[in-house]
Amino acid sequence: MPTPGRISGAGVVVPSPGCDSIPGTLGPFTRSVRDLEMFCNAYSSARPWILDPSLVPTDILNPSIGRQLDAYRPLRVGIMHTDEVVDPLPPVRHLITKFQDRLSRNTQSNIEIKPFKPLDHGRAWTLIAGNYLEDAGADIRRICDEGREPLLPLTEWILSQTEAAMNALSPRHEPRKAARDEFREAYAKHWDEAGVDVIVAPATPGTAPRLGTPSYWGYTAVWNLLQYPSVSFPAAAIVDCWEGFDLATETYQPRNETEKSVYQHYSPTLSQGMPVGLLVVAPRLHESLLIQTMGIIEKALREK
Amino acid sequence: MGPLHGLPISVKEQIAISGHRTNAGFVAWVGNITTEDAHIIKSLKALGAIIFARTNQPQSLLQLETNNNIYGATVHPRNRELTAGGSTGGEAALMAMHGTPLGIGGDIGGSIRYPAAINGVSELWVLARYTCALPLDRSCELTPKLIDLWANADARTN
Repeated sequence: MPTPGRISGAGVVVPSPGCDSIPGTLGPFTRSVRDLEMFCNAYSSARPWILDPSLVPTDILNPSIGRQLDAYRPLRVGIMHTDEVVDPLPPVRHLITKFQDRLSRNTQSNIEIKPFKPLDHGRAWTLIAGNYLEDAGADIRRICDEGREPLLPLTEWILSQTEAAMNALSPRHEPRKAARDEFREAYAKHWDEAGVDVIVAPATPGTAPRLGTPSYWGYTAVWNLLQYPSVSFPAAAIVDCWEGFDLATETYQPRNETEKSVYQHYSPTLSQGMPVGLLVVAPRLHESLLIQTMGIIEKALREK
Repeated sequence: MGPLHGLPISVKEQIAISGHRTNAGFVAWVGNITTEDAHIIKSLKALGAIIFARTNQPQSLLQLETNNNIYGATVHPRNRELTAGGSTGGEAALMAMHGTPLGIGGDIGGSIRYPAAINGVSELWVLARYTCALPLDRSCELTPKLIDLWANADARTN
């Protein structure tokens, strides 16, 4: 997912056009880092910014935007094991540990691995949920009403989350946006002090749950709030996550209501052997650095 | 001939295609026929791509699942009791089943990265390992000429 302003969203049908406190973005699904890079280059070659003035007028992978990697110092990869709101379930807990282990055993690439502590991701969810819908979901309710269709439970769920967050922040949109901006500034400082180029973090607490149950957005939504580009990659397959690992012997103790709500849908039997990815995240508009890093990480993991 | 000449690309349904219905997961919009391609569709066509499939999305687009009252739920390719994730679960499931080489989705809270993560869509990264090392290897589905074009993509269309 690139930073908004890279890929044109003009002509994409949404319930509330013009609602931009939290802009969404289009992004590609590809089958390799190579294809991802090729897509970015090919799309940029169409110069979409000429007719869509909301876009940054340059190639997505323009290497002169943002900070670049320095060949004379190591690539600094921060590993975020948990967002401290919902600890990953046993599959992802094991996956990120194994990923770190595999990366640290690489001998060819100059990579420095650092721990990365999240900065109040619980607050991040309140901020993004409280800014998602400037109309508090009125358009979504109206369109469903016009179609005489019931709101699906997960639609109800997100509307109730946004309502609660708006109540917690402010009834007016300016203070909600000001709180959002304050958090973005605080995170820039936090990232700078952590001294990392990119971070690797869970994309979700576990593997695919049963239909109708996925309701924890925290591991991905925080990066939308910050507008940091991130790539989901199929980590479980790449690091042989399931080799010699049996979920039947793993335990998990939920510590709060959110963890309980995630854990209640967890099944070791349904999770064993399933695919699950991790995210690589870079600062806002640093797509070039992100793709370069993906290449280095891929090479490092290829080493057995 | 553009850098994506002949490449089949699938897109999430909310991305408008001229002359086709675009409902964004809402029953009220099942008859909504758009008269103009979305901007990205124009770009992709100008680059030579062929839009060959449109994929499912959830009601309101604000779900980490892909379920609506029009087409129903997109399920996980490995286990139909499980979700394919969302909101771009259609693309992720299609790619997991090797049904598309490149897909376009939308993301405002995890809608691309979450379904990608739980479907392991880039498991073909294994294939890419070979093709990266040997761009002309026969394991690559694309013709060598196409790869060459992509690698040197600079076909400015404007």
